[in-house]
Formats: sequence, structure tokens, C-alpha cells
Amino acid sequence: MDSLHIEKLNVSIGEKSILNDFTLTVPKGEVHALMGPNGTGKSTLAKVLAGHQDYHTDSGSVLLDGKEILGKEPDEISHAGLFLAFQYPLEIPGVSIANFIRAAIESRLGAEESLDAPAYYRRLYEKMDLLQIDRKFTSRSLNEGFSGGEKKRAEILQMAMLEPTYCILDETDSGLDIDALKVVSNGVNFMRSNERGSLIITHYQRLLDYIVPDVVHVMWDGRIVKSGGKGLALELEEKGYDWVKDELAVACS
Amino acid sequence: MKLMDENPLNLPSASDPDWRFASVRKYRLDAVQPTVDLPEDALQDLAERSRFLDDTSGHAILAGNQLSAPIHLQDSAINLGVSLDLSETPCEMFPTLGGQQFLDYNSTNSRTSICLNVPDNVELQSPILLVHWNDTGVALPQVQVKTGKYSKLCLVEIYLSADSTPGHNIASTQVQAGEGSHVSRVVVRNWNPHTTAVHLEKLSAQRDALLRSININIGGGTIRQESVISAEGQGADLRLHSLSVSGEDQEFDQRTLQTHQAPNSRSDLLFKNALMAGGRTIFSGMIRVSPEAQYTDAYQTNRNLLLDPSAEANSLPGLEILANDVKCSHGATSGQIDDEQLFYMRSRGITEQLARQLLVFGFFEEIISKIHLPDLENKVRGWIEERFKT
Amino acid sequence: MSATETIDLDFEKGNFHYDTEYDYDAGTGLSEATIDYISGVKEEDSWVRDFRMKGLRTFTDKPMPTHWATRDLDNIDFNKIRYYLSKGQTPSRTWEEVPEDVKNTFERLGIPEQERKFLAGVEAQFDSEAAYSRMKDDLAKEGVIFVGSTEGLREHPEIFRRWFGKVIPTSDNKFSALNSAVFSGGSFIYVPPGVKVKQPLQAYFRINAENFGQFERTLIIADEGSEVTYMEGCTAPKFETSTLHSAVVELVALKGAKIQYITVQNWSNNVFNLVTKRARAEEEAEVKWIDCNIGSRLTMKYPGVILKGRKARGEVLSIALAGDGQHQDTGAKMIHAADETSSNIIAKSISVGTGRSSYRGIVNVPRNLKGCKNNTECDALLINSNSRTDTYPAITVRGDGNSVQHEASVSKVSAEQIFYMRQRGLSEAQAMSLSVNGFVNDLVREFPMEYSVELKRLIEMEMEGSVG
Repeated sequence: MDSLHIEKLNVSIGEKSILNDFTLTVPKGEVHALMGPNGTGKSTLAKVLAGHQDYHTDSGSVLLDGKEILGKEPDEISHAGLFLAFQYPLEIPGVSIANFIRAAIESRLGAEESLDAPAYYRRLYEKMDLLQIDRKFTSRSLNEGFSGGEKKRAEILQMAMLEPTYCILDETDSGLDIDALKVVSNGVNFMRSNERGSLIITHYQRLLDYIVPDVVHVMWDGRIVKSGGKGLALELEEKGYDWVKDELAVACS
Repeated sequence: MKLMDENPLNLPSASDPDWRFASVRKYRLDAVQPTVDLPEDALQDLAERSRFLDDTSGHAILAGNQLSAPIHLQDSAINLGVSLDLSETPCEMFPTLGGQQFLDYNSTNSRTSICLNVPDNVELQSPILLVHWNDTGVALPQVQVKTGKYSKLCLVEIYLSADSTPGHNIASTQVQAGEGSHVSRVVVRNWNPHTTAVHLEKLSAQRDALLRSININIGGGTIRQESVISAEGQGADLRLHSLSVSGEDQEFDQRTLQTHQAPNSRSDLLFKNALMAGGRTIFSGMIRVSPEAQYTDAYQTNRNLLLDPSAEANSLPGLEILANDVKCSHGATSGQIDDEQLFYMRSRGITEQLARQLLVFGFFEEIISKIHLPDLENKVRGWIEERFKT
Repeated sequence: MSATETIDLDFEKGNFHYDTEYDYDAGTGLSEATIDYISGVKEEDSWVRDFRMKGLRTFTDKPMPTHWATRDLDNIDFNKIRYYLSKGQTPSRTWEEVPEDVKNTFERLGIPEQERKFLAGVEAQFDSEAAYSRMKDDLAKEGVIFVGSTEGLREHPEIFRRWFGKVIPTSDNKFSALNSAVFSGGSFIYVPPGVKVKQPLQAYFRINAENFGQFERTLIIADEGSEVTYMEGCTAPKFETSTLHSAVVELVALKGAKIQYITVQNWSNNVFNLVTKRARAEEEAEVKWIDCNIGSRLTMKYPGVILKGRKARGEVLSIALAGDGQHQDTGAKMIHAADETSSNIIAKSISVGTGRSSYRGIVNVPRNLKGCKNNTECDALLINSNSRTDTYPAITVRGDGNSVQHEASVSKVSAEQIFYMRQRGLSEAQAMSLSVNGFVNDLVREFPMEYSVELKRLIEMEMEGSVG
């Protein structure tokens, strides 16, 4: 029950199938890494989990602590506890980080509840300090004119503020230099808890030097073809994805 | 010739919004002498003076309302099925931006309708050159161009005055770029100062076609250019560029319409005007995106460089957008040479006069460098330099 | 979103009306007799009556400007409109003296409450005449005049006549001519040299009767070195038939004076709102128009500044929200008429549903001037696939060292932006309204707090209905 459980998920765009019987379970308290070459369906998986309208789910099931989230609206899925850190965070002109996160938190409150503004700002500044985000950032429009590293830090800040039960980090390391990578990783590690499960989608092994996963999965052609411990990531780094491809070919023949 | 009596040209009303800021009365034809057919040696002389490009796939040279030399097309082009002829049928009518009377007049009376067809999959390596020499009277040239699927064409139209006598020119050009074809067109207008002209053009691009058109306006008196560019198929890409140099007693009036009827299409317009003492320009642009043309990018920019306090630049940059998933913008600026730039250059030891000249020619170069025909580019630079000497 | 006092301009809040008995009624339709009636009950001097008659002739002679403007103008039936309705020509100085039904209307709109909280003076116009008009005593001692235009014409003809019709001539356009013929109500303000009115003066315009035409005429004169902020709010109940509002507003900022004129127009969507607003700015004077158009069926309004003195400055900041079936045709005119004058126009529009927003602008810098600058930015946001936006600027630049720049853009809230925000837990409507508020945010920041808070709330309400 206490897991993000994806069962035989089949997803297509038009005629092209992207995910083929994709199955994966991320239990609460664990960090899983999902690795694979470009175009294998990793980002599609992230968007489908978050309820993006452009993808058609042919069959399958996604249970969040036992509750089906497939077919739900993106905001319902968010309220259910799933957070997606975007590969390419969108710019929201004129809306400051502080107001945006506040609106997101307020959307989770009941009709009679109201946000304690001073407490909110205290907590926001605390998390910003942790992520080494300048306080001047709170008044800047979300992601507008941000550098790649700033955008990713803003994603982790939102994650820290919304405290989801399951986090999907889609290529969070892309475009980051080592310093930024360390800051972002610290933020993610700080979020590690027995009450939270995370799926880190990445192309490269280097993020996993800083966020050590419990399990590593290798994705190929829309499904997981190999799972193992953190050593698997290093093996991949060393041998390249062709190694998986070759192994797969042997297995199939 | 009797044509003027049979088909009088009714001028638009001065309060017509399509003619806002324009000197409408200057387009009157009633004082104009009819054109006269030129003697053979004069025609030959004009043909000689028309060698603006070293290498062409073919050319047509016209003087007034007659051919000054037989139309010429390279054998290689003929073998590929390209045709370049005088057409019997007048061009199809197309929507104008206020100059309907002029198009009707041209269509009814033109005797020189040049027709160019490039078949499917034919790529012409060298340009087709059309030269039109204006003489006394009203010249009424017409150009009709059609390109087939995945063909390639470069077309150069040059409009000049044979001598310094006053003249009128009412021209029309229609280009239909077929699916996936690449059409590149350059128009140079460099008449004498006593010439009044209206050039109406419609450029349309089918699916995935790329159509570029560059207008260089240097000489002339009161000149109006109307360009309708139309993205008719999805993925069509149209680029319309212009450079005008306007001086004493000159008025360049340019009206444009960018229309998008198909999704994922793109149009980009850049009109630059340099205005010397007494020069006048009008730029009126409109972008019209239909509801079905989602994912359209349409841009329109007008830059006016005023080189003298007596110059006047008018700008009417417009947008009408009915599709919501579009990226459209327009910008218009009018100003002088930047003092800070001048200072910067002078601090490097360049004289003020030279610095100004460099900045002005730098302003032009953005358009000239898009011609991609080195001999024509140099010719244009030379004509502009001459214009600045007078 | 701090807890600031807000001015209530709620759509639904304005949508009510009390049956009212009028003591003065010019009947329906427009003729010389209508003008005789209006002029008669107001006991006007003969020059005013002549001015009105000239206005009527000009109005009749001028064609409808449909050669450039929308054909919807042809749907106004001038013979069905009631041109003058009032309970009397002298406004009360205390709310207790205001007739019960009229007082109830303004109380429901929250006017007396706002007056107590942050206003220096209030004029409340009910159909043709001001029902209430009062200004703080200390301002009166400084020589500030803030009265209805009927009263201003009667009590201060020496100042009124000097500037009346001078900034906007009767023949400026068909609707300024109509206003000149039948004007009634509006404000007359005079601020003496050097006096700085700290709190805003507010006028509230209420249309109460069906088929009524409101034609207020406002004249504000800020003498040398003085400062004043004027705010106007407008509402009307929703009737079956259309209603006409056609005001003329003239501002005169003398040397070094500053005038800020703020409008939040929230007419119900049966109102044709055809308004002429123009200012004259003398040497080093500053005029700022802040113009928010949210209601009405059709608004045509292009506030302008004639920059008459050296270093005068003009500004128009406007926000238009065209909801389903609405057309906001707004813009600005900047007429540079002296050296080193500068002007700034920032216009943002949002089109929702079948709403259409149009920008029209004129910027003119003539031959003999030096060192003039204009900056214009117009940005349009389209919400639905059937929404529409147009931009029609006209810019003429001559002279020496003058520079003008105009930038316009059209954008939409992208599906990916909405998805991103929904992933954080916002509903589609919340995401949309946050984006729209973000779009206007930098402009709203320029507005006085009371208005910016209310404006954000109005936008949120509009966006709630636009999705799904």
C-alpha cells in the first residue's frame, strides 16, 4: 500500500507507443533512480504520472498509496501527494516565487482554513537558505530569466515547501554545473525521509554520486529491462547503454 | 495610345484610411502624355544598359509598354521546362491595400505581362532578371510567377528610368510559391525624381514553401508599394524586407499585409527607412491571423532613421489576431543616429562625418546583405552612395 | 494580497436598481426642445445655451465614424434615449439630505464608507445630476473648488468659461458634439497655485434609469505647481435595452502642475461607453491617466495629452479586459507640441471568450521640435481560441533629436504553463487567473493600492467563468 506503484502502463502518442507494460514500485522511504538513453520514454512517464493531457493511456494502473491516480486532473494528483520537478520548468511572467508557492499551498487548504502568512514566510526563508537561494528571489517572477541552475533550485524549493509524499525528479541534473548540482542534491537529500518516496530520472550517473539511490532501474524501449543496486549505475557509466542493448539482444535471441 | 481616355483612373479619397498620411493627389494621371514606342537603337541601348547580373538563367528587358529585346531563356532552363513569356491573359486580380483602382487600371491596360513558370522539382541555379525602363507616359508592367513543388527560383526585378523625363509606373507582381519551393525575390526601384509609381504585389506561399522578398527603394518621386503576403499552406515561411532611402521631394509609401490562413506558418517583416532632408516615408503594416492559423509566428518591424530635422516618418504598425495560440509582435522605432555610438567611434579617432556614414551604411547593410547576389549587392551599394552624394 | 481597504466595484454589487421618481425629465429623443428643456431647468446663461445648440448641429452633421470604428455604433438608437433625468439641480452637502432611494444606492455601493476612510472629497452623480457633493473643509480654506459641473458653471463662470471646451472642441468627434449639446453633471475642480491635495477626490457615476444617457462633463484645472488626484468609478444595473454613457473630460495642468486621473469603469454590459478625454500640459507639468476598462458592451476611449509646454510629460497606463461579447476599443493620443516633451503609453489588454480588445494610438511629433521622446508598449493576452485582439497605432515623427519607440506583442497563456501550475495543485481557473494577474502585475503596481487590490479581485472573478 505505502508505495507509488505503476502496473503494466501502456502509453502512446498517435500511432507510436511510448511505454510498453511499464511496471515499477517505489516504496515510501526509498529513493529509486531511473536511467536510460534519450528517447526511451523517461520524460513521458513523468508527464503521464502528473496527468498531462497530451498522452493517451491505453491500459495500466498507477496507484499512489493504493489510490488510482490515472485519469485524474493534474491538480488532483498534486493534492494526492505527487510532485514532479520539471525537466524544463515553465516561465510564469509577473507571478513571484513567493506568491506562486503561496497560491499552491492555499489550494490545499480547506474552505475555512487560512494561511498563517508570517509562518509561511519564515518557512520559505528557511528552505531558501538551505538551497542557497538569495532572498531577493522571492519577488522575482517564477523562472523568468532564471539560469538553468536557478530554475532547478526553484523546483526543489517548491518541492520542499509542498512536502509531497512522492517526488519525481525529471532530469534535474541537466544543465547544472558541479556547484549547483551539489546544492540541488543537498536539497533532495534533506527531503529524504521514511515518509517519502522519490524517483530520480536521469541520463547520467553523476547526480547519483550526490544522491545515492537505494535501487537503480534501467529503462529501454518503454520498459524497465534491468534493476539493481547503486553499483548498476556505475556499471552503466563505464560500459555505456549499448551494453544493456547487447545484453537485451542476447536475452531475446 | 487612347487607353487613358477609355479607362480613367479615379483617385482614392484623401480621407480614405488606406491612404492615411499619403499625398494622394500626386498620383493623378491627367497631365500624363501617352507612352510612345521607342526607336530600335534606343531599345538596343537600354538592353545594353541592363546587364546588372553576370550570370542569369534568363531575362526580359522592357521599355515603357514594349519589349526592348526578345525574351531570353538559357537552353538548360528551357530543357527543364521553365517558361518565360509575354502572356496574353491579364493577371488574376488580388486584394489590394487601398490601390484597387490602380490594379484595375494595370490589369485592363497592360500590354506587357511577363509570365514565369518553374515546373515541379526544378531548381534554377542562376536568377531570372526582369528590367523595366520607364519612359514618358504611363508604363504598366505585370509580372506573374508560379513555382512548382520543391522547385527553386531567384527572381530579380529592377525598375529604372530611361532618362530624366517625368513618368508614371503602375506595376503589379504576383508570385505563387508552390509546395516546398524556395523563392527568393529582389526588387530594386531607382527611378528619376520625376517619377510617380504604384507597385501592387501579392506573394503567396503554399505548404512548407519559403518565400523571401527584398525591396530596395532608392530613386523616384512619389512611390507607393503595396505588398500582400499570404501564408496559405501549413509550414509556409514568408520574409519581407525593405530598405528605402528618402530625400527631398520624395515620398515612399509602403503598405503591407501579412495574412496567415494555415497553422504553423511564419512571417517576418523588416522595413528600414533612412530619411534625408525633406524625405517622407509612410509604413503601414498589418498582421492578420485567421482563427484556423494556430501556432503562427508573425513579426513586423519598422525602423526609421531620421538624418535631418525636416524628414518625416509615419508608422502605422497594426495587428489583428483571431487565433489564440500565436506569437505575434510588432515594433516601430524612429530616431536619429545614436550620439553615444558616434562618441564611441570618435574616441577611436574616426571623424564625425565618417562615423555617421559608417553608421548609416551599417543601418542599410542588414537588408543589403540578405540579397545574396554579390554583383547586385555592389550595384545597390553604388546607387545608394550616389543618392547620398546628391 | 494584503488586507488593504478595497473599493467595491463588484459586477454583481452594481447590478441592482431602485424605482425612482424623477422631478425633471426631458423625455425621449433629441431635438432643440430637449436642449431648451435642459438649459431651462438649469437656468443657464445664453452663451451656454448657444454652446449646446452648436453642439447639437455638429452632432447631427457629423457621420458615425464607422469607416474606422465598429459597426456596433449603428445599433445606438438616439431617438429612444432619455437625455435628462434628475430630482433637482443642487446636490446635498450631507448624506442625510440625499433622497432615501438615491442614498440607499450609494450606501450599497459603499461610497459614504470610502469617503470616511480615505477620500478628500466625493461627488456622487445619480443619472443626470450630482446628488451629493462634499469636500473636506480645510481644502475649501485653501481655495480648492470641487463641485458638480452644473454648480461650477453657475458659481465660478470666470474660471469655468476660460477653459471650457478649449482642450476638446465640440467638433472633435460625433460624441464630443453630443456631449456638448446635452451635458449635465460631472465635476468641476480648481486647485490654486502651489496647493497639493494629498488625498484623492472621487466621483462616482451611477446610471439608474433604463434607456438613459449619461453625459457628464468634467473640467479639472490644476494651477501652477499644484497637485491633484481624481478617481472615478462607474456602474449601472443590467437592463434589457442598451444605455449610453458619453462623457467629455478636460484637464488643464498649468506650469509645473501634476494631475493624476484614475478611472475604473465597470459598466454593465449593455452600456455603450463612448468617452472623450484629453489633457493640456503646460511647461514641466505632468498628466497621468490611469484607465481600467472592465465593463460595458462597447468602450471607445483614447485618453490624450497635448504636451503644450517645454518638458511637459504625459502618461497613459491602461488595462482593458474584454469579456464574452464585449469590445474594449481603447488607446491613447500623445500630441507633442513643445521641445523636450516626453510621453509614455503602456496598454495591456486581455481578451476572454468572444471578447475583443483593440488598441488605437496616435503619437505625433511635429517638424519644429527638438528632444521629444515617446515610448509605447502594448501587450495583448488571448485566453480562448475565439478571442480577438487588434492594434492600430499611428506614429508620425519629424524634427530634431526626437525619438519614438513602439513595441507590441500578442501572447497567450500556454497549455504547458497551465499544466505546470496545476502540477503544483492549482485548479485550472486559479492557474489562469494567476497568469492573467501576472500579465498585468507590473502595470497594476503603478496604481494606488485601493484600486490595484480591487482590480486583481475583478480579474479573478472574470477568469473563474472563462475556463471549462
